[in-house]
Amino acid sequence: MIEHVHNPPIDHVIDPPLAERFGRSWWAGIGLSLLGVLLLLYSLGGPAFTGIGVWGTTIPYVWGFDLASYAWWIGIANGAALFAAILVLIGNSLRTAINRFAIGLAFGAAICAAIFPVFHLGRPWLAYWMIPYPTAQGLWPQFRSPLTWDFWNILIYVTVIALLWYVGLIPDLATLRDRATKRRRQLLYGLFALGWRGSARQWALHQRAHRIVALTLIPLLFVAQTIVSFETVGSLVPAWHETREPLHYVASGFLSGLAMVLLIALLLRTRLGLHHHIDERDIDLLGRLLLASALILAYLHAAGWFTAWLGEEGLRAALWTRMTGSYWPFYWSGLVLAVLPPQLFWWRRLRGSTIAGVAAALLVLAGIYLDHLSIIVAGLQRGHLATSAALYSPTLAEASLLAGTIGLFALMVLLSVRRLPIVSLYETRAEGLGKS
Amino acid sequence: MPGFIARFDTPERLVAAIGRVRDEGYTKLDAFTPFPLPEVTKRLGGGTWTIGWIAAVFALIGGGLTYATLYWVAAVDYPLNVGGRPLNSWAAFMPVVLVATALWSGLATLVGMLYLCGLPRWHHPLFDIGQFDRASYDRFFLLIEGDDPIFSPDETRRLLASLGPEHIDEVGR
Amino acid sequence: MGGDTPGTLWRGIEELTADRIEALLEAEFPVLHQMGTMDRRDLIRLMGASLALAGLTACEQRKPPLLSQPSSPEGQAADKPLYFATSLGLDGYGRGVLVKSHDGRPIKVEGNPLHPASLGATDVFMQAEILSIYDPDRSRTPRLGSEPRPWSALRRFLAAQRMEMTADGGEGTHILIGATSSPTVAGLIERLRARYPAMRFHSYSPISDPLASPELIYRFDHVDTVLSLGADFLGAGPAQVRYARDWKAARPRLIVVESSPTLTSARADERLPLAPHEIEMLAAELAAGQGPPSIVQALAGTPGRAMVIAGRDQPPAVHALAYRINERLGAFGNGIVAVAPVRIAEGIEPLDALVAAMAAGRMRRLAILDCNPAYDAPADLAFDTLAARVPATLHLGISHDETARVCRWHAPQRHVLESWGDLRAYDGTVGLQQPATVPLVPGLSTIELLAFFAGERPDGRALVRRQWNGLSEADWMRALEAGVVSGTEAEAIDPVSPSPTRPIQYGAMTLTFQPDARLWDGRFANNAWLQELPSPLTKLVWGNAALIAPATAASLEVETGDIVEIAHRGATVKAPVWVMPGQAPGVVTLSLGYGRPSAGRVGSEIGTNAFRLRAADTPWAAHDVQVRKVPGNGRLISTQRHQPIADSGAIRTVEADAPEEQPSLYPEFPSLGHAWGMVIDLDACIGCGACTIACQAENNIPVVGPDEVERGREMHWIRVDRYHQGPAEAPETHFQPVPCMHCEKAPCEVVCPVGATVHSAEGLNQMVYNRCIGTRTCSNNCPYKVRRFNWFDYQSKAPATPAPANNPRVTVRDRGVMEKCTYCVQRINAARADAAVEGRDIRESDVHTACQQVCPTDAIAFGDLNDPNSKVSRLRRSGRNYALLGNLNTRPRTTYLARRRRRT
Repeated sequence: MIEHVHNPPIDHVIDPPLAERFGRSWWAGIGLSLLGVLLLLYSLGGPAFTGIGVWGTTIPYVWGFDLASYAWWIGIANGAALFAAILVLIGNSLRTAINRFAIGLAFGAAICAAIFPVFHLGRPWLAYWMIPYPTAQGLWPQFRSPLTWDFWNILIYVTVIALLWYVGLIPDLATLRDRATKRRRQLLYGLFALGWRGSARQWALHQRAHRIVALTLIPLLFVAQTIVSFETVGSLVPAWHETREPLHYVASGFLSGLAMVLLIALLLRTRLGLHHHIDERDIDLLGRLLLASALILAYLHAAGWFTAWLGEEGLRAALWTRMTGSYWPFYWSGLVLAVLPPQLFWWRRLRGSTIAGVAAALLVLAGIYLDHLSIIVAGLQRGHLATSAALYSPTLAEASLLAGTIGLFALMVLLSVRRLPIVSLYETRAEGLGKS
Repeated sequence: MPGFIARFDTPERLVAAIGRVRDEGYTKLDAFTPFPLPEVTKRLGGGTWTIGWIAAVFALIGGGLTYATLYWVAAVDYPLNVGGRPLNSWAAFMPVVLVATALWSGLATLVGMLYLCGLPRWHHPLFDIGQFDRASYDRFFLLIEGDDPIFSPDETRRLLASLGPEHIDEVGR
Repeated sequence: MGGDTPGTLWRGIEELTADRIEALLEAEFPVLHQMGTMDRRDLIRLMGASLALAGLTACEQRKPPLLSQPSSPEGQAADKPLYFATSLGLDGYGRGVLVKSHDGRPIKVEGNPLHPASLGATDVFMQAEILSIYDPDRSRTPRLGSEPRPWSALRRFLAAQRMEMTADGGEGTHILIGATSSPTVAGLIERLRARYPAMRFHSYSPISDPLASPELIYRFDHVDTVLSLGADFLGAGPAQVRYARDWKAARPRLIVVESSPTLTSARADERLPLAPHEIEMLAAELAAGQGPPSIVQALAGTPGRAMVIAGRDQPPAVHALAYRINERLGAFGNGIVAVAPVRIAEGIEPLDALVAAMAAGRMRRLAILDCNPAYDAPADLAFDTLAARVPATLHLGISHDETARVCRWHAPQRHVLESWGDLRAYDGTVGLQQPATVPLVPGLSTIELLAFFAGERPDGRALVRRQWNGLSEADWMRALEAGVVSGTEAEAIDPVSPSPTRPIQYGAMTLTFQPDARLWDGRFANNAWLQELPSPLTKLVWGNAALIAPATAASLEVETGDIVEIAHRGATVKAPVWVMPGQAPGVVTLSLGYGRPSAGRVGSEIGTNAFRLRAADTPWAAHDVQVRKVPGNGRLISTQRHQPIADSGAIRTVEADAPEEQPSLYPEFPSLGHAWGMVIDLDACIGCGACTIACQAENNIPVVGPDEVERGREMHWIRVDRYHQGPAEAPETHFQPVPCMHCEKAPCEVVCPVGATVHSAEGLNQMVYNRCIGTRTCSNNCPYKVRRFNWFDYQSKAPATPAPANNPRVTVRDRGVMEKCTYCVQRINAARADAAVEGRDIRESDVHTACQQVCPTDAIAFGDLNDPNSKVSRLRRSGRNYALLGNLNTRPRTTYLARRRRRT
């Protein structure tokens, strides 16, 4: 072991993963999120053992909270990942601070999202039938189905996010390997550092590879979010069968992903003291981006009204049902909460305010959730025939499942800041060099 | 013949050293830094276009293979009338082909990069050098290999020593 | 000791008395041990076995009896179903059916083509009998009070009563029989009367006067114009199936005047909603040759071929007026035939006489057979309190119902599918009843009990054979096989004008009663299939509602779902409101049969008991009732929301739509062999719901219970959509049965990720249950919303259909899988197998879907679209043919024929 080298900016980042102790707030967070995970496990018991009838879903409302939650989480994942990948490519100074943990958030959100497609199945234990393996019946998955698309989509998308994350992480893992004092950690970090030496050749290839993976991820993210939207858009349901809907999914996903990044950034900043790495400039930029994407979403809403006005009767009636039917609060609160709070960030002072940032991010996240509920549930209210008198009303089992995934997400975030450097070490140092 | 590795405390010294050593005519050089230094990678990193080609070619291979698989599954191995759609519903196969292409490209990039880097490997003789673990932290290393045409144990050590390193080590082959 | 036989523990054989041995025998051999069927020898023979088993029963749960066929009947392959011709009763009339029995289990009822009241079709009640026979709430043991007693105890009681009756000649002995037309019962009554001269017989039906004479039979195929004064001949009733068939064949011009909408008025060419007193006024005008010109002209326009039908719920005055009009129209002998009473009426007294005798306090014995007056007698007779005062009372019924609870003794009745007997159809034709299974529960049939009183051997077959001893053995076998005894139609007699009664005091608000389209008079209340069958007009399930006209609802300031309190002569009931388009203002309508206190686990306390407001003098209308809104919200479960039909274009009434073919980007799949298709004629559909329940029986469709239906999770594979058109005061009503459309370009198939729903070579949209993982996305993509999902394990949760009732040829679906109409693929496959054995191709007549087979009006055609001469192909070429939601270009295999609109 070498003598301690005085290099505060880096040590500060390395410290959390290697430190033996954490603050009380971290442990409190772990406790709370563990409770959430317990709730999640409990909530999965209903669909797994009793039947998904424990949810409020019915015909024609065959999907409800399940798909809304799925679309919400995947939107967050997509938004955060898109943001991170763009940062890698444009080489903005912000990337050092935010891209690593944005991609981590995307990964966590994607895992939360993946719970829903599995457990919303009538027979979740057969979810593996989506995998193309040679069965005794000789049957294969049906590749014309948007659900099959989405299965691959999510699988690949999570893999590529992990790739981007991992490629970026290799040099840092090497640093951790070299800084670790305990044999077990040295081995573990060393295993994943793959023998990284930081030679000129390695750095050159690494920089290129990192950019290529980011470049691959960006179109994939748009495709991914579009494919998620195909689950609804690809159907005959009048309110869903619209070409603008994929764009809406992309825009709302970006907005919610940014909101989640902002939320977690503000929390980490105040709780873990990462002011150095996530500074006012970063937060300010995030605020601006949030504002911009809220404006894009508002534009898409307006465009939707416009096309409905120009479009055929069925389209108009379907949108009208979403606006004024039994589920009108979803539509309007979804619109207002997603679009209005970011307008605070027209003012620089508010962009810098932690309270305003946290509040706006939370409201936006809630708004996007309601927007998804409006699409999924209110969109189903108007079918082609008058077939059912029943309405969908979510049950406690569904709400607790959503709460449970939030707990899981929080747990993953907390554990990752404990075990992995949340901002890029080597980029931070390179940047520190540039500044000095 | 063993080479020499010199440890510098700042990137500027390393960059300057590389310049000097290059000027002297040494070609078998390598540098180890905690973060990428553009001057270093430019001079010593070599070409990286291969990795782009790897990504592109494997993306095409992956996309093609995926499409072929879907075609085989839907139209050859177990053809079924699904909603009256053609057995080879190419348009409906595209989303999966697209995302699979991205997967192949990404994976090929990682694997290709590792291959070109000569990774992964468990151990490397350099790791035995004292304080080489600081190459990932706060020190900058310059290596002159022993099989360099103009390498001479005395001359080369003297040259390196004149560049102001913290320390010089011998590196076995 | 397990099972139903109570008793204390015993240690040795010496403790066992003969009674206890019998009790044990019942526990072990419920089938064998029936009253009188076991003689001494049997008893001894079984005793050894029973004693050996007796010890085991202490630690073993009793299993239901195993049914097997050790040797197949002649010409019977092992897995082939057997069909038994029998007759099912409704209001005392028989309707001939063929009961399909698989491995000794009756699993399906089909109509008997040879029976005049069926002609091969059925109504909802006939279909539902299958569930009733397996009802776990069936009474399984005699009871004294509420305590179960062994059969021997009942036998001792009956023997003692018989001895006393022999002594007193039947003095003070009354027998009340639910309305019946059984000649065997009539013969037994005759013999009983000879043996006990003082014995008195009564007959009761809450739906009709069983003693009415003459009875009127309507022949819709003999007339061109029909005026119905509140007569719902297309609605539920003993002749519904036949009348609907005749109506469809002739399609006479139909004018309906009524207080509350019915299936008949839904098909009327002209409809007039009127309150009861207005109907009487109108009838009086018409009788005087006046009245609305359109009606007068219509009746006069078809001389000799017009008739007026007065409904069962009309007062005698209207019947008398209708008689006068019919006489003038010359309807008697043409459209209307008066016949001698079909049901047993001679020497039979009404319920009033029984009640009077009970009130007089001199009644010694009362036997109530196959009816439930403690529930369904008019409330003002106070039947239950009076019956409780009779010293010796016996109830014979299929369940331990309300009447059983006021009688001292109760004996379990055999289900009709376990019994021998006979019943006459609405036109008098006799249909024989034979068991389709061994008794699943020990019990007695009505004739067996009467035979016991008469001192005869209570052997159902022998009793019926004795009644028909005029038939040669060959004729008897033929009659059993055919299910009808030919040449037994009721003789025509001269019509008699009903005697006018004292005028009715009409009031501002009238409450009318209807027999329920699903529970009839309440006897089907514990039948979950019927409870869950949507009521044809309101689409209500699991309950009834007070139907109120929109205008009346506005003046009472109530809406659908509010609760009203209806008061009449001191009695009150509370009922949820259903604002009924087409209801006559000032009339509240309640259907009978709900709110039963002890129907069983399924049917008790569901809905509002209308009998509590019923009065003996005006049974069908309570005049001058008070209706007021009370706080609270009623639970109304309906399966269809209101939506104007213009919205969807689902129903077409215009004629001569050119068949439209839209271009498709997709190539056609070659259709070799058969291409199954269905055409549903909306012009013939009367909306009765028989198809829905037949499908349920055929395809093992689970019942899910009120909570699940309320969430929209009903499972019916074919639903009958109801649409209203026009003003809410007098709308037109349309029905549309919607099964799976089996689209050629099925949207559901494309979106299934695992290929669990795909097309067969013959064009069936197949659901592969085993492959389904339950994403439900197929349902999302089905514009017709005909796919149903097993949200829970419905097949094992109450009120699930008992497993023995299931069709062994249809998979019972697991939780978490989607299901839907299969075009009865099991029937197609069975027909294909039969055809292959015979080395030929499937003929059109080989395959009938369950819905098609039961349809009273033959509205559903099914067959091969690749055969240009098949019925479906011909109907498809009709100008009326259209595809539901054809604009979506799903190319449905099921198409509709537009309803014709008669020009007025």
